[in-house]
Amino acid sequence: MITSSSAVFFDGVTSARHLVTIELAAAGVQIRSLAGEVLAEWANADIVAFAAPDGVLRLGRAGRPMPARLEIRDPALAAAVTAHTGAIPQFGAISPRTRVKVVGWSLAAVASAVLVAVFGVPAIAARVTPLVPVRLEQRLGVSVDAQVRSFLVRGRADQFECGNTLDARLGRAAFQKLVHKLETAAALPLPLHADVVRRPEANAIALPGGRVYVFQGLIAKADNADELAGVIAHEIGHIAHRDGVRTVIQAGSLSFLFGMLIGDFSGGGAAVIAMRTVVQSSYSRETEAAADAYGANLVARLGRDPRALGTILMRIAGTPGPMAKILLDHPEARERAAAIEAIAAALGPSPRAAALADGTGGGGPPGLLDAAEWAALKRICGGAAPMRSPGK
Amino acid sequence: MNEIVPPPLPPLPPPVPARLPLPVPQAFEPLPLPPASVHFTGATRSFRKLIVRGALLQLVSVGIYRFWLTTDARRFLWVSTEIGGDSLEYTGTAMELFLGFLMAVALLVPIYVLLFLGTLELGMVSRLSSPVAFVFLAVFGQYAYFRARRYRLTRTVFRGIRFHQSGSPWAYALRSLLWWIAIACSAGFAYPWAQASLERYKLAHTHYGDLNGRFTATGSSLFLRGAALWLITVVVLIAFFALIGYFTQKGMRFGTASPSPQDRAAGAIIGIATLAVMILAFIGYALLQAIMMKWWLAGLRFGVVEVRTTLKKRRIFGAYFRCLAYIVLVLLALCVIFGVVAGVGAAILKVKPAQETIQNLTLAGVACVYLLLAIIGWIIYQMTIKLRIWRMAVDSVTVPGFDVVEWVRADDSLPSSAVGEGLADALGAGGI
Repeated sequence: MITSSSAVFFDGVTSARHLVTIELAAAGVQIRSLAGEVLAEWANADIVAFAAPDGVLRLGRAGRPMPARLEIRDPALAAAVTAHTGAIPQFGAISPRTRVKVVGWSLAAVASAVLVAVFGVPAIAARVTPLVPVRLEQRLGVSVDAQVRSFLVRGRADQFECGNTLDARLGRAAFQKLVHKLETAAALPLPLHADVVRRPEANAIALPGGRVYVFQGLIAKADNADELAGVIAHEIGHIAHRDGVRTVIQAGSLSFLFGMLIGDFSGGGAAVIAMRTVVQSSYSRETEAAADAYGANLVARLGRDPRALGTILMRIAGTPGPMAKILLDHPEARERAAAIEAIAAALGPSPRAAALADGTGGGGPPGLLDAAEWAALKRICGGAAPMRSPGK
Repeated sequence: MNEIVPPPLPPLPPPVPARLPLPVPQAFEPLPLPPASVHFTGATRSFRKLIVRGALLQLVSVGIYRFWLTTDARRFLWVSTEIGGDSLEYTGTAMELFLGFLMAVALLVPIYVLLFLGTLELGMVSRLSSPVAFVFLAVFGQYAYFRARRYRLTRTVFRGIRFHQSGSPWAYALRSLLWWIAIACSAGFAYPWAQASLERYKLAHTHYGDLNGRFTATGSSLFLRGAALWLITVVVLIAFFALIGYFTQKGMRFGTASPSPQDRAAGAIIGIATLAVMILAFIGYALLQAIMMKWWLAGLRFGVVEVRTTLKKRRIFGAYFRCLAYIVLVLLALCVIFGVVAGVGAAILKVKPAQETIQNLTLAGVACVYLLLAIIGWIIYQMTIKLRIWRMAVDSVTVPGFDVVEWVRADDSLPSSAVGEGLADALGAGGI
């Protein structure tokens, strides 16, 4: 069968427009100039359709370096060619099936990444953390500390820590005495550096490398030395468990995992940070509970009542601070207090509680601080009310 | 190998066969001689369908679909661009882009690990690591941009001949870095000359077969067109910072928990001034885009082929304004819907939820509005700016000297790999 009709041919060698006739030969398509000269002969199996405007059939051959093209604008001729060559594959066409596959496998990849994030990353971090040398943790601590300070310090950096004024010296001494007692009992593998800092929130944080910041707002909220000791013991728990190092490993792994998944390598994209924050907040319940347990035990070892930590947690939870927590990175205070209560019950009554119960009052081991020391500690940031809240 | 070597060139065919009387009987009307004008033939509807579907699939595939979407969009835009009666053709495939992305992953992962370790180190390294990372990534981004441009050009076919790009991506990245330093040191004064220089480099290394590109617009001409805009920007910024400086010097405190009446007044003035600066910034940006687009189009040359444009700046500005207006409307609509849903929900449940529940619900609502706005905003951006400006630019152009295109010969250039696209994508320097 031979059909002859006009079309435009670009031979891939020059950009000249050739008006051509097409001859449908047995196994392919013959392209002839109007003078009858054969310009090209394409086998049916090689012919591929390329992207073209509506109403144009643009043919070429697959896998050729020279993009020769045959363009047919006549619908009748296009139909005849298609009938002759059989279904012409569309170059680079994206079939509905391909789209479904892309979406389906992307979802599978996401599901897999989320599973790794939720179960794999904490497991890896738990195994890698003990292998990190203390010296490396301390070096990491220095750079984390610099970042945290740049975030927390409002006003002059040298006035961030409380207890530098003449009046506050006694408070500082009392605070360090309390910390020293806890540190001695804890026997940490690295030295502890704890300070009270000018932040209005009722909070305390532990950084890798043994740094603890107790916020001024927490000192204001604490009713006695045992409560404060409970909080510091909780933070010492984080240091003993090396939670700072673990968090860095987790955050790094998660940024990497999600960054690779969505192709954002700087890891600073909003989507990556959001995904990381949500997943990390799911880790922290266990971490906090473990630090609570550690803290309760540590306080009990000093002969004091571990329930004091639960008491101050409940008090802080009752009054929403200026930095309302949106993502719950601490388990609910009531649950935590109950867990601490259970630990305290299991440890048996503390000597002091027993002494109180049998009516002997001030008997048992001495308090962590005496009344004068505690009063001084309460005034460690100058005795004034906590500084105004930072700019909103 | 023998497929790669072009066959010996036959003697040039008569240059304009279409002009000769055609002796052969025709089954249909002979094709008219292509006019040397440029048209956009694509239907808005087709592009909208492609973009909306792409945005949704991209959402459910957490972004992986972008390679397929980009390919679809480019194929549409290229094919809809008709120059002298023949349309461009995009021969890239999504799979190539995906492979390019994987190559970029392989290249960038070790670099990021090194940068991450750098931030953990003490002292100088730690302090320097973020600026070093910034400069490195900026330069590497330009490198990637140049390679991605090569990919796009070698996937662009016109009349059976491929475009291609020579030149070194590192040379381009270095040139770009030096110009950015100059721009920073001159408070933006050097920007027009930087643009001209970078465009000259790009076009001088752009080829259509054996026809070489050129860029003839100059930095001075861009400066003259944009000088007023630049002056206004500088004056506005100086005035704004002077205002803030004035209030700060008077001891006003912003964001205090207990502001005095003066503090409130100062806060209000600063707020209004900030809003005004933002609006002016948008207008300035849109105007700059319009000026640049016109300037760029008019400077394009391929051999003796010129590009002339009748593009009106106010039309480009209009496209930007329309985009912003639609996005603001969508934002308002979303907020109203969200508010109504929250109100109705609360009324039906008749429960006073706990503080924490309210916070969590608010967060979820804000996240929903943000996500919806991001998707709809992206669609609006593609429709009102990408498509509209492409179409305006294409339709505004005529190409005197186009006859020469009848004699262009292919050279032995080959399609390049998509690794540049992958890098540009991973570094946030990509685009359609």
